[in-house]
Amino acid sequence: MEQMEIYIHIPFCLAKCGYCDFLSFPASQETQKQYLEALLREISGFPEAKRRQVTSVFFGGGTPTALPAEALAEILSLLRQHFFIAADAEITVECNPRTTDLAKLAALRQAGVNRLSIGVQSFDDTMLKTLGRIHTKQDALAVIADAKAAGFSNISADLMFALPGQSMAVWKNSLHTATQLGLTHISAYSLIIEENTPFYTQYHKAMLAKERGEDQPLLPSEDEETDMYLYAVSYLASCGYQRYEISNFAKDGFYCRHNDGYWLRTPYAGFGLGAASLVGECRYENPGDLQSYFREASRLWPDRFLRAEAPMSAEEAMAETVILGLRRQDGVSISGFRAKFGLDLWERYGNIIEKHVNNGYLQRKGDRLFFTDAGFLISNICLADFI
Amino acid sequence: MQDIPQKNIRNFCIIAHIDHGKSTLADRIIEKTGLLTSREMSEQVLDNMDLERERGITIKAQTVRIIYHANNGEEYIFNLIDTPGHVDFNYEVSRSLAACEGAVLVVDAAQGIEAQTLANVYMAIDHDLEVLPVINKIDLPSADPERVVNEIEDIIGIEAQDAPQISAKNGINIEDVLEQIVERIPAPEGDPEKELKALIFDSIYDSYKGVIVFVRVMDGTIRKGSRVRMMATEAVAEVVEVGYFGPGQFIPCEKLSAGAVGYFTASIKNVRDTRVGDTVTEDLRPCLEPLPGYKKVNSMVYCGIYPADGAHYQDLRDALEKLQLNDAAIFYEAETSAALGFGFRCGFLGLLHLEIVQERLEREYNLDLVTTAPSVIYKVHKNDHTVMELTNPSNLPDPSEIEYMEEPVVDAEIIVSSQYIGTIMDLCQERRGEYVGIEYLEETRALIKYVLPLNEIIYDFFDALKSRSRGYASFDYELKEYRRSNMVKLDILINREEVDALSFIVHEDSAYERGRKMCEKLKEEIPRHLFEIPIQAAVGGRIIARETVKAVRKDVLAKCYGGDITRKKKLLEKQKEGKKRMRQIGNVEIPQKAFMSVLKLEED
Repeated sequence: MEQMEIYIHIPFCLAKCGYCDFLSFPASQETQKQYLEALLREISGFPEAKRRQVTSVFFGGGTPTALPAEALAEILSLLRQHFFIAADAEITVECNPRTTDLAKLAALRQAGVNRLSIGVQSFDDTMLKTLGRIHTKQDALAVIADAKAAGFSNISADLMFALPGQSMAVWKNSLHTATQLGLTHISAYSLIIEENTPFYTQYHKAMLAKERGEDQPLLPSEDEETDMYLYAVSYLASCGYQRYEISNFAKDGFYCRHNDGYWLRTPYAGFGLGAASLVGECRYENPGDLQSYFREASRLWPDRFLRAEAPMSAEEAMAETVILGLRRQDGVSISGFRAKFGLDLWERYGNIIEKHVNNGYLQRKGDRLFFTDAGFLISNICLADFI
Repeated sequence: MQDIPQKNIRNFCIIAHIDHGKSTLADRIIEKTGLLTSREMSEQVLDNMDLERERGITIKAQTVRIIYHANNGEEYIFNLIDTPGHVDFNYEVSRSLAACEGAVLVVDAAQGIEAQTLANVYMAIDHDLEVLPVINKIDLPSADPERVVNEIEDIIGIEAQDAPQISAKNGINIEDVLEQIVERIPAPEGDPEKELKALIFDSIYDSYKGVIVFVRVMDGTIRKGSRVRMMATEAVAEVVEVGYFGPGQFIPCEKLSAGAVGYFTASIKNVRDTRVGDTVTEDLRPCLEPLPGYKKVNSMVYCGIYPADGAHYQDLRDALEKLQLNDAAIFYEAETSAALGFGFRCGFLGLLHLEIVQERLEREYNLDLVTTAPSVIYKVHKNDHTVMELTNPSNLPDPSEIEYMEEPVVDAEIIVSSQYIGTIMDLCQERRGEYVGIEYLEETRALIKYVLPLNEIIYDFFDALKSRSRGYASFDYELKEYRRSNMVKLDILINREEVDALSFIVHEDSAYERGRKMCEKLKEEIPRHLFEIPIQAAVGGRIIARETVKAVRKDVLAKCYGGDITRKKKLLEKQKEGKKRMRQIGNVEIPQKAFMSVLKLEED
């Protein structure tokens, strides 16, 4: 049976952080209620739902735990009715240390959630303040303890580096704290200064200088950022967390199956405001404003299938396979590529691959083509060639 | 209409500084004479090239014949000859003036006389034209017509008390202008029975009719079937059609006699055969002497023009050929650059002409171009006593073969409010200017005269002038002579490879400063690579400045999840698109705009 994944977007949060460009905002109880209803309507509209086996459900945001546990449980229960959810499916909820407590976590566990992804970002209170997070180091430690107490054994934490004013020592400290907590998974992201965020206004000039390789006082330099990343890779490996994707590290067997699906191009259906989907080689995106979403929620899915948009070209799908696949530590499967497209990877991209292999950025071993350590650092430059 | 006698013809042009309202007045005159209804008037009917309309300047002279019923009850033919409005096209202006008996001088009631006005007025007076001053924009709050009247009388020395005070924009007092044209501008003279003598003041290429030659008949008559000769180019052709200029269209007629302004076609294939300023006569009954003043216009500024994509070389050649059909002032010849491949060395009247041609190539012919730094013509005196005219810096012989070099200098006139005199003189001084004098036009405005090397003004002088005078300076120049000068070739090395398309000739004393600025600018323009890239400026093999583009250490998309994929793909696409618009020099990719950005080194 064909496999698929489900993403549920909860666009609410208690307060917007300065760097955040996701679709999220604080909202009234009334709006939250309306949203939940729309979400349920949208899910019910997904056609031929039982034809596929769902291997993962991921509640992302925003802050999904901004909603009461019962609301999330209701969504899950509808998904179970409507879809065929595999018995061992990975069911993840993203949460923020200030929106959860032991009771709520226990309720989630009870509802079948088996993985938590906690937006810790830093174990340094100054950094958390800079980021505009509403929690403290203590809150983060507490929620991890609560999660374990509630019966979660698969817990991930997000950490960020290259933050304004962050020194190597502060970064190391966060990593060292994280590895003491019995987490199964750590995501380590460098701060991206996105347009349309307060950070953009504040750090835009510094960012441009940094991109030119120049030093400036506001942000860690490119060299510092690189060193922070390289430290994370080697330190986390020494603690048993292997890098399996550019920014993701996990203990054996605990990589995030849901996210891995994105890089392997497993089909996924996204429900909720602005949620993206990949179904039948088509990429869809839901409306990004609440009013249109409320209005159209019940029609979104059947309409899409009825309109039967042309799927992306094989050319485009091949490029995606490579640029997404190479994000993974073990890269792209050469035989998998041939099986899918009836074309050898080298037939299509021979010159590009050879160039980067010769420069030491790509490597082939057996059935796999993947980035070397040097290649990961400048991966965009290589990936752009495959577009 | 053919019956209107010579004494009722008025041939005139309108001269004005840019923005003083020349084209608007022309529109109003055409409107008032009744050949066009208001509805037919598109804004500024005379400027019909898009580019002209956008820039608000006239590039090609346009001409129109209209009928005016004067207050005295008689009908008059007005031939309004529009003149190009920029110093680059001075020669075309002078030939248009030579086709007239009078000139309507439009002066802005607020801004008064500007350098361009003066230059044109002097030119009109040189051609013995009756100058009819008109004060425009009197409805502006800042208008001060009284002051402007005095200015005209004091500076130009023509009587201006009766000058019509008008608003061309709002159609105020246009009749005064028309009546004064009748009363004050003399009728043309000339004998229709004598040998044909007609002045070419413009020509355009039409794909059906061939070249359409714009003429003012001085003596004799030109008819359909006449066999005519262009006296300078010696081209001979049989006239297929003669006619006059209706607004926006050509109206054929039987003949054009002495005093008339009109056109003829003769299946001529190339505008180069019908040079502006040449005299048309009858092949079998030629006049004795051509009209005075013909000169072949020479290019003052050269640059390399290359297709961004080498595959479009032929398209560029075709486009240049077509443009040249219409613009005899464009010069081009094939050249090759190690950095840019096959392209053309092109010559222009000035920097504006260059920019106009470049824009037309890009817009009308849809070409993506790389233009190299403009250069003037240097005279290279070699040890073997030959003189080489250098238009491409890469062709400069080895210094050991050069005895000395000469560069062109110009007489420059700048008019500016007195508060900016100091800064403008500083600017001229920085540009190796030689101070000639200063005249106060009135208490608050001065005319500054300098001799300036042409190569110091072709880059960004005009921009600098505008920015340092808050936009109030105006500027005019004329080639003066060649002068001996210590010029050197500045080479740019990128990743230790010399890039020929970036080389230029510069005065020895400015080499260090220019080299340093070039390196800084290129550092901004050249994207970071996976390796470090030194950018060096060198004179005669000696490095005089250096910058370094640091190697990229980290270029990673930290996050790429389900909702990001489309957007992240776009980012990578953009990264790749950027690469396409680059030129590969050795193993360094240089964006096309880097070749042009070095033109503007003046700090913002």
